[in-house]
Amino acid sequence: MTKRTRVFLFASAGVLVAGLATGLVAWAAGAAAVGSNGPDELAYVPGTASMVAYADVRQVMNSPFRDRFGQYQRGNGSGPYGIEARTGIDFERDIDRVLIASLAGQPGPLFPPPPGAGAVSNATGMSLLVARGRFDTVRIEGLMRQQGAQVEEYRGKRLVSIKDDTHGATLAFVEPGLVLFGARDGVRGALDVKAGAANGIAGNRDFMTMIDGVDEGTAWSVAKFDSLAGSTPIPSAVVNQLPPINWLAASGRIDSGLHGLVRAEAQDEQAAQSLREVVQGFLALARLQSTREPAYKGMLDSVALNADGKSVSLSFEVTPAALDLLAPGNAARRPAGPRRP
Amino acid sequence: MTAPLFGPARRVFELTLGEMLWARRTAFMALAAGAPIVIAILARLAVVNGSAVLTVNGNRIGTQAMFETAVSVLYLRFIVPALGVFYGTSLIADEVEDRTITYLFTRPIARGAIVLGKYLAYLLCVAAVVLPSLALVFLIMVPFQNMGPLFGKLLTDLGILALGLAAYGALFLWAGVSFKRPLVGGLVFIFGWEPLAMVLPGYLRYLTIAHYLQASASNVASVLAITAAAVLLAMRTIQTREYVLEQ
Repeated sequence: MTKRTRVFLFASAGVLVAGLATGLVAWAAGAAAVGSNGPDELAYVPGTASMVAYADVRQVMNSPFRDRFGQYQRGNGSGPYGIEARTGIDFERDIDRVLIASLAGQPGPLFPPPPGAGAVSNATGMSLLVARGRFDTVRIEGLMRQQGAQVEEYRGKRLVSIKDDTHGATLAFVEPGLVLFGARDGVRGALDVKAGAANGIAGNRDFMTMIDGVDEGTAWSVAKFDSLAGSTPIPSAVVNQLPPINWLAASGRIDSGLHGLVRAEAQDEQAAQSLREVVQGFLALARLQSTREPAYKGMLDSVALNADGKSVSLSFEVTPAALDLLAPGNAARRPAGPRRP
Repeated sequence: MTAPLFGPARRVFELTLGEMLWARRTAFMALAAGAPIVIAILARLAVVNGSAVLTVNGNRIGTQAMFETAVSVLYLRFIVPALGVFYGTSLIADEVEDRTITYLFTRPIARGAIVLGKYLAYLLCVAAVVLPSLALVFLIMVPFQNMGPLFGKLLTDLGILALGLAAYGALFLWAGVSFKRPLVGGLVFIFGWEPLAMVLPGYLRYLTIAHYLQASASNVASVLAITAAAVLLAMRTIQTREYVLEQ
């Protein structure tokens, strides 16, 4: 083999190795940033997100638990300003996976409230919905245009925006089978993140660590605890008495029943211990109350409370039998509790 | 007594590799491997400048789709089969046409070793040009932040291209050993029969190599089997065939 043949072969191998090494570094960097199991949709979530929730809609829809739960469900959650009304996207039929993020400050409404419910402003934050599924782009855009939507291009993606005096919603077709929906600024911010022009949630190590801990569930949520203040059904007086908590995460695995896990990350181990005692107190109270409700009793028996360092976790199960007993129509079948004298 | 195979094959391999790399025909190979790189540079510049937007059904084509299109259309449909037919058919046919086959046959080596050595030289030569070309297209066309998710696809594509070069080369090597005018038939096969059979309903697609160049374990086994069978057939054919050299 001549010298120039050898040189050519070495150069060729060098180019090949350079390409593979660059790809390997990019892959390793991406895996380290996003975590081993984080969904791809996280690539659109800005670093300012205070809450991220994810659901495998298809798995939930196909689960026996959902069939059973659906029998007792009442009403339709989709309002006149919801994604279905705005875009024609049927949540149950068209969407496979969905990720919702609350951006900038407190969690804001994904779909603005109806007129008269108060002005919508970015001061309360924005929400972003990243949905993967099957979308008829022509039909969706046509429906939105009928509602006066305007089309624009941003970072090479097509944004369809509806805006009137009090409401605004933007839909972007960002990849085949992937749409972003939310406030216009939120959608543009998500495209900035994807383009690398803004910091993404993947760069937030604490957030990603929490997500890695829960993302094996069919549905999960991770939130900064202070972002939830004022938006939880728990009275603020109770919330104020709780030990300092940094993070709250919840996940659920859904099959014939629901296997849930709620995890709180306290500021320090002392706070975690205090939180564990508070939760233990609530559980004791609940067990006392559940003696007259076998459905609750079965569920409470499955509850396990654990504390590890700064982390306090509570797991529980809702079995199909418990769900049947909890159904409103089955109240008459529940065994009567001990009568008071 | 059976003549040794691998020692002579290695000598033929080294001789043929130098000849192939620095022959005039290499210009065709450089053109084939360089064209996707030029296209990748132009496409990347156009996308960065925003002067060109590729859309399908209203959806803008991203770098991932562009890279996949380059692999499936440029490399798998054109470059790999074309290199296979041009080089594979010429490995022995050129020696016959130039009337130099006699010098090889008079050597005290097995005829099969000539075929094997030439085939391995072809494989290294085209792989050394085509695979780095794809790696360069990947580096140019795909932004760094998108490379991670595409890395697995790059590895798969490199493997498929290597298998394609091996299979097409082996098939047309056998054609070159067996037929007098293999190039025309080879061109008809890759640009006529294969595209047609791939879109026709039924089982005709199983009579193409393109069908097996789809990433799956069974297809990899099929391509390897086709390659091995074609090389063995070529070695067996040259062992028994008489070549009449035209004056």
